[in-house]
Amino acid sequence: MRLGPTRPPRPQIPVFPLGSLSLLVLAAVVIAGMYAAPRGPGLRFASVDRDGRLRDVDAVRVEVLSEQETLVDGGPVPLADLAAAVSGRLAGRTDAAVILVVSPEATYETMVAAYAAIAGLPGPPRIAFLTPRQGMHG
Amino acid sequence: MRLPKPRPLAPAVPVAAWADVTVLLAVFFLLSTSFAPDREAIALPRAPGLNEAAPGAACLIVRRRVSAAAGEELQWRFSDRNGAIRDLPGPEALYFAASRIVDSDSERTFLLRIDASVRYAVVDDILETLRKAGVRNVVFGARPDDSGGE
Repeated sequence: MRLGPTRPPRPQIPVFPLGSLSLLVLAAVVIAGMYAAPRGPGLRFASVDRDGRLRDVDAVRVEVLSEQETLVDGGPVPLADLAAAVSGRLAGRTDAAVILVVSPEATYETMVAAYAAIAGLPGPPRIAFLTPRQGMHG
Repeated sequence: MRLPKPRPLAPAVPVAAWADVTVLLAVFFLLSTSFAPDREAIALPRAPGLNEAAPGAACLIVRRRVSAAAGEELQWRFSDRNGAIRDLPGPEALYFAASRIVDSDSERTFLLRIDASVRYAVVDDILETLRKAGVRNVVFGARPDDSGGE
Protein backbone atom coordinates (compact mmCIF):
# COMPACT_ATOMS: atom_id res chain seq x y z
CA MET A 1 0.00 0.00 0.00
CA ARG A 2 1.29 3.40 -0.89
CA LEU A 3 0.32 6.39 1.19
CA GLY A 4 0.12 9.84 -0.28
CA PRO A 5 2.01 12.75 1.24
CA THR A 6 0.07 14.43 4.03
CA ARG A 7 -0.74 18.09 3.63
CA PRO A 8 0.75 20.39 6.26
CA PRO A 9 -1.97 22.14 8.27
CA ARG A 10 -2.77 25.65 7.10
CA PRO A 11 -1.39 28.35 9.38
CA GLN A 12 -4.26 30.01 11.23
CA ILE A 13 -4.66 32.74 13.76
CA PRO A 14 -6.14 31.24 16.96
CA VAL A 15 -9.43 33.09 16.79
CA PHE A 16 -11.23 31.35 19.67
CA PRO A 17 -8.77 32.39 22.42
CA LEU A 18 -8.60 35.85 20.86
CA GLY A 19 -12.37 36.16 21.01
CA SER A 20 -12.48 34.97 24.60
CA LEU A 21 -9.75 37.40 25.58
CA SER A 22 -11.60 40.28 23.89
CA LEU A 23 -14.76 39.37 25.76
CA LEU A 24 -12.87 39.35 29.05
CA VAL A 25 -11.34 42.77 28.29
CA LEU A 26 -14.78 44.12 27.39
CA ALA A 27 -16.29 42.78 30.62
CA ALA A 28 -13.45 44.31 32.66
CA VAL A 29 -13.82 47.69 30.96
CA VAL A 30 -17.60 47.75 31.40
CA ILE A 31 -17.39 46.83 35.10
CA ALA A 32 -14.60 49.35 35.71
CA GLY A 33 -16.59 52.02 33.90
CA MET A 34 -19.68 51.35 35.96
CA TYR A 35 -17.81 51.88 39.19
CA ALA A 36 -15.36 54.56 38.03
CA ALA A 37 -17.75 57.11 36.56
CA PRO A 38 -18.38 59.94 38.99
CA ARG A 39 -22.00 60.07 40.06
CA GLY A 40 -24.28 61.62 42.60
CA PRO A 41 -27.48 63.59 43.02
CA GLY A 42 -27.61 66.51 40.61
CA LEU A 43 -28.62 70.10 41.25
CA ARG A 44 -29.49 72.81 38.75
CA PHE A 45 -29.57 76.36 40.05
CA ALA A 46 -32.86 78.01 39.27
CA SER A 47 -33.46 81.63 38.39
CA VAL A 48 -36.64 83.63 38.74
CA ASP A 49 -36.57 84.63 35.04
CA ARG A 50 -36.14 81.11 33.75
CA ASP A 51 -37.94 78.95 36.27
CA GLY A 52 -40.39 81.26 38.00
CA ARG A 53 -40.66 82.18 41.62
CA LEU A 54 -40.97 79.51 44.28
CA ARG A 55 -44.03 79.96 46.45
CA ASP A 56 -42.73 79.22 49.90
CA VAL A 57 -46.25 79.34 51.40
CA ASP A 58 -47.23 76.12 49.59
CA ALA A 59 -43.88 74.43 49.99
CA VAL A 60 -43.12 71.54 52.31
CA ARG A 61 -40.53 72.56 54.88
CA VAL A 62 -37.86 69.98 55.67
CA GLU A 63 -35.42 70.75 58.46
CA VAL A 64 -32.33 68.60 58.80
CA LEU A 65 -30.74 69.31 62.16
CA SER A 66 -28.62 66.16 62.34
CA GLU A 67 -28.70 62.57 61.15
CA GLN A 68 -30.95 61.71 64.06
CA GLU A 69 -33.17 64.77 63.95
CA THR A 70 -35.21 65.62 60.86
CA LEU A 71 -38.46 67.57 60.78
CA VAL A 72 -41.05 67.67 58.00
CA ASP A 73 -43.43 70.62 58.45
CA GLY A 74 -42.47 70.63 62.11
CA GLY A 75 -43.05 66.93 62.77
CA PRO A 76 -40.13 64.60 63.54
CA VAL A 77 -39.37 62.01 60.84
CA PRO A 78 -36.50 59.50 60.69
CA LEU A 79 -34.06 60.41 57.92
CA ALA A 80 -34.60 56.98 56.36
CA ASP A 81 -38.34 57.71 56.00
CA LEU A 82 -37.89 61.24 54.67
CA ALA A 83 -38.80 60.42 51.07
CA ALA A 84 -42.07 58.78 52.06
CA ALA A 85 -42.99 61.59 54.44
CA VAL A 86 -42.31 64.35 51.87
CA SER A 87 -44.07 62.39 49.14
CA GLY A 88 -47.16 62.11 51.34
CA ARG A 89 -47.14 65.84 52.04
CA LEU A 90 -46.70 66.73 48.36
CA ALA A 91 -49.52 64.48 47.17
CA GLY A 92 -52.22 66.47 45.43
CA ARG A 93 -50.27 69.72 45.23
CA THR A 94 -49.96 71.30 41.81
CA ASP A 95 -46.65 73.06 42.46
CA ALA A 96 -44.48 70.52 44.26
CA ALA A 97 -41.86 72.49 46.14
CA VAL A 98 -39.68 71.75 49.14
CA ILE A 99 -37.71 74.15 51.29
CA LEU A 100 -34.72 72.31 52.68
CA VAL A 101 -33.20 73.83 55.79
CA VAL A 102 -29.95 72.17 56.80
CA SER A 103 -28.19 73.04 60.01
CA PRO A 104 -24.68 74.44 59.40
CA GLU A 105 -23.41 71.92 61.95
CA ALA A 106 -24.89 68.92 60.11
CA THR A 107 -22.50 66.88 58.01
CA TYR A 108 -22.33 66.91 54.24
CA GLU A 109 -23.36 63.24 54.28
CA THR A 110 -26.60 64.05 56.09
CA MET A 111 -27.39 66.87 53.69
CA VAL A 112 -26.71 64.72 50.61
CA ALA A 113 -28.85 61.88 51.99
CA ALA A 114 -31.77 64.26 52.59
CA TYR A 115 -31.36 66.02 49.25
CA ALA A 116 -31.05 62.76 47.29
CA ALA A 117 -34.15 61.35 48.99
CA ILE A 118 -36.23 64.40 48.02
CA ALA A 119 -34.73 64.87 44.55
CA GLY A 120 -35.41 61.22 43.78
CA LEU A 121 -39.15 61.58 44.27
CA PRO A 122 -41.31 61.33 41.15
CA GLY A 123 -41.87 64.76 39.76
CA PRO A 124 -39.30 65.73 41.02
CA PRO A 125 -40.19 68.63 43.35
CA ARG A 126 -38.42 71.97 43.20
CA ILE A 127 -36.02 72.27 46.10
CA ALA A 128 -34.79 75.47 47.71
CA PHE A 129 -31.97 75.47 50.24
CA LEU A 130 -32.57 77.92 53.02
CA THR A 131 -29.77 79.14 55.21
CA PRO A 132 -30.46 81.77 57.86
CA ARG A 133 -27.25 83.64 57.04
CA GLN A 134 -27.55 83.93 53.28
CA GLY A 135 -31.14 83.51 52.21
CA MET A 136 -32.30 81.00 49.62
CA HIS A 137 -30.52 79.30 46.78
CA GLY A 138 -31.21 76.17 44.76
CA MET B 1 -19.43 20.30 -19.31
CA ARG B 2 -20.51 18.86 -16.00
CA LEU B 3 -19.31 20.68 -12.98
CA PRO B 4 -18.72 18.75 -9.80
CA LYS B 5 -21.31 19.26 -7.11
CA PRO B 6 -19.93 21.71 -4.54
CA ARG B 7 -19.56 20.42 -1.03
CA PRO B 8 -21.78 22.18 1.53
CA LEU B 9 -19.83 24.24 4.02
CA ALA B 10 -19.81 23.01 7.57
CA PRO B 11 -21.87 25.25 9.88
CA ALA B 12 -19.63 27.32 12.14
CA VAL B 13 -19.98 30.22 14.55
CA PRO B 14 -18.36 33.36 12.99
CA VAL B 15 -15.87 33.82 15.81
CA ALA B 16 -13.61 36.26 13.99
CA ALA B 17 -16.44 38.74 13.46
CA TRP B 18 -17.53 38.31 17.08
CA ALA B 19 -14.00 39.03 18.30
CA ASP B 20 -13.81 42.13 16.08
CA VAL B 21 -17.07 43.50 17.47
CA THR B 22 -15.94 42.80 21.03
CA VAL B 23 -12.64 44.60 20.52
CA LEU B 24 -14.45 47.56 18.99
CA LEU B 25 -16.83 47.68 21.99
CA ALA B 26 -13.92 47.50 24.44
CA VAL B 27 -12.19 50.41 22.67
CA PHE B 28 -15.44 52.39 22.61
CA PHE B 29 -16.03 51.94 26.35
CA LEU B 30 -12.40 52.78 27.13
CA LEU B 31 -12.70 56.06 25.23
CA SER B 32 -16.17 57.04 26.40
CA THR B 33 -15.81 56.27 30.10
CA SER B 34 -15.01 59.24 32.30
CA PHE B 35 -12.98 58.41 35.37
CA ALA B 36 -13.15 60.47 38.54
CA PRO B 37 -9.91 62.22 39.52
CA ASP B 38 -8.36 61.65 42.93
CA ARG B 39 -10.69 58.74 43.51
CA GLU B 40 -9.07 57.04 46.46
CA ALA B 41 -8.55 59.88 48.88
CA ILE B 42 -12.09 61.11 49.51
CA ALA B 43 -14.63 59.44 51.81
CA LEU B 44 -17.69 60.34 49.76
CA PRO B 45 -21.14 60.29 51.36
CA ARG B 46 -23.59 57.53 50.56
CA ALA B 47 -26.79 58.45 48.77
CA PRO B 48 -29.61 56.69 46.92
CA GLY B 49 -30.64 57.34 43.33
CA LEU B 50 -27.44 58.62 41.78
CA ASN B 51 -27.03 60.19 38.34
CA GLU B 52 -23.83 60.04 36.37
CA ALA B 53 -21.99 63.35 36.08
CA ALA B 54 -21.68 64.66 32.54
CA PRO B 55 -18.36 63.83 30.86
CA GLY B 56 -15.83 66.64 31.14
CA ALA B 57 -17.22 67.95 34.40
CA ALA B 58 -15.04 70.32 36.40
CA CYS B 59 -14.28 68.83 39.78
CA LEU B 60 -13.87 70.46 43.17
CA ILE B 61 -12.22 68.27 45.81
CA VAL B 62 -12.42 69.17 49.48
CA ARG B 63 -10.60 66.86 51.84
CA ARG B 64 -10.90 67.12 55.62
CA ARG B 65 -7.99 66.35 57.86
CA VAL B 66 -8.09 66.39 61.63
CA SER B 67 -4.91 66.40 63.68
CA ALA B 68 -4.20 67.02 67.34
CA ALA B 69 -1.80 69.86 66.55
CA ALA B 70 -3.66 71.80 63.87
CA GLY B 71 -7.24 70.73 64.52
CA GLU B 72 -9.48 70.59 61.47
CA GLU B 73 -7.93 71.46 58.12
CA LEU B 74 -9.59 71.51 54.73
CA GLN B 75 -7.55 70.87 51.61
CA TRP B 76 -9.00 72.46 48.47
CA ARG B 77 -8.20 71.11 45.03
CA PHE B 78 -9.67 71.76 41.62
CA SER B 79 -9.65 69.86 38.37
CA ASP B 80 -10.69 71.17 34.98
CA ARG B 81 -11.67 69.12 31.94
CA ASN B 82 -8.11 67.99 31.16
CA GLY B 83 -7.91 66.04 34.43
CA ALA B 84 -4.93 67.89 35.88
CA ILE B 85 -5.54 68.57 39.57
CA ARG B 86 -4.22 71.75 41.15
CA ASP B 87 -4.35 73.05 44.70
CA LEU B 88 -6.57 75.99 45.53
CA PRO B 89 -5.35 78.36 48.24
CA GLY B 90 -8.86 78.47 49.69
CA PRO B 91 -12.55 78.80 48.93
CA GLU B 92 -12.12 82.38 47.71
CA ALA B 93 -10.08 81.10 44.73
CA LEU B 94 -12.99 78.89 43.72
CA TYR B 95 -14.96 81.87 42.47
CA PHE B 96 -12.33 82.80 39.89
CA ALA B 97 -11.72 79.21 38.82
CA ALA B 98 -15.46 78.63 38.33
CA SER B 99 -15.99 81.99 36.58
CA ARG B 100 -13.29 81.22 34.03
CA ILE B 101 -14.96 77.94 33.12
CA VAL B 102 -18.50 79.33 33.02
CA ASP B 103 -17.34 82.16 30.72
CA SER B 104 -16.51 79.62 28.03
CA ASP B 105 -19.21 77.05 28.79
CA SER B 106 -22.17 78.17 30.89
CA GLU B 107 -23.69 74.67 31.02
CA ARG B 108 -20.59 72.95 32.34
CA THR B 109 -21.28 70.58 35.23
CA PHE B 110 -19.34 70.98 38.47
CA LEU B 111 -18.74 67.78 40.40
CA LEU B 112 -18.30 68.25 44.16
CA ARG B 113 -16.14 65.57 45.73
CA ILE B 114 -16.28 66.50 49.39
CA ASP B 115 -15.49 64.43 52.45
CA ALA B 116 -18.68 63.13 54.04
CA SER B 117 -17.69 64.53 57.44
CA VAL B 118 -17.31 68.14 56.28
CA ARG B 119 -19.81 70.49 57.94
CA TYR B 120 -22.70 71.70 55.80
CA ALA B 121 -21.72 75.33 56.49
CA VAL B 122 -18.67 74.77 54.24
CA VAL B 123 -20.79 73.16 51.51
CA ASP B 124 -23.29 75.99 51.72
CA ASP B 125 -20.52 78.52 51.12
CA ILE B 126 -19.33 76.49 48.15
CA LEU B 127 -22.82 76.40 46.63
CA GLU B 128 -23.23 80.13 47.15
CA THR B 129 -19.85 80.82 45.55
CA LEU B 130 -20.66 78.64 42.55
CA ARG B 131 -24.05 80.29 42.13
CA LYS B 132 -22.47 83.74 42.20
CA ALA B 133 -19.90 82.61 39.63
CA GLY B 134 -22.74 81.71 37.27
CA VAL B 135 -22.58 77.93 37.57
CA ARG B 136 -25.84 76.19 36.69
CA ASN B 137 -25.22 72.47 37.05
CA VAL B 138 -23.78 70.78 40.12
CA VAL B 139 -23.45 67.11 41.00
CA PHE B 140 -22.85 66.11 44.61
CA GLY B 141 -20.33 63.30 44.31
CA ALA B 142 -21.55 60.28 46.26
CA ARG B 143 -21.26 56.53 46.57
CA PRO B 144 -24.21 54.22 45.89
CA ASP B 145 -26.19 53.46 49.01
CA ASP B 146 -25.95 49.67 49.36
CA SER B 147 -28.77 49.59 51.88
CA GLY B 148 -31.12 51.08 49.30
CA GLY B 149 -31.49 54.28 51.24
CA GLU B 150 -35.14 53.74 51.92
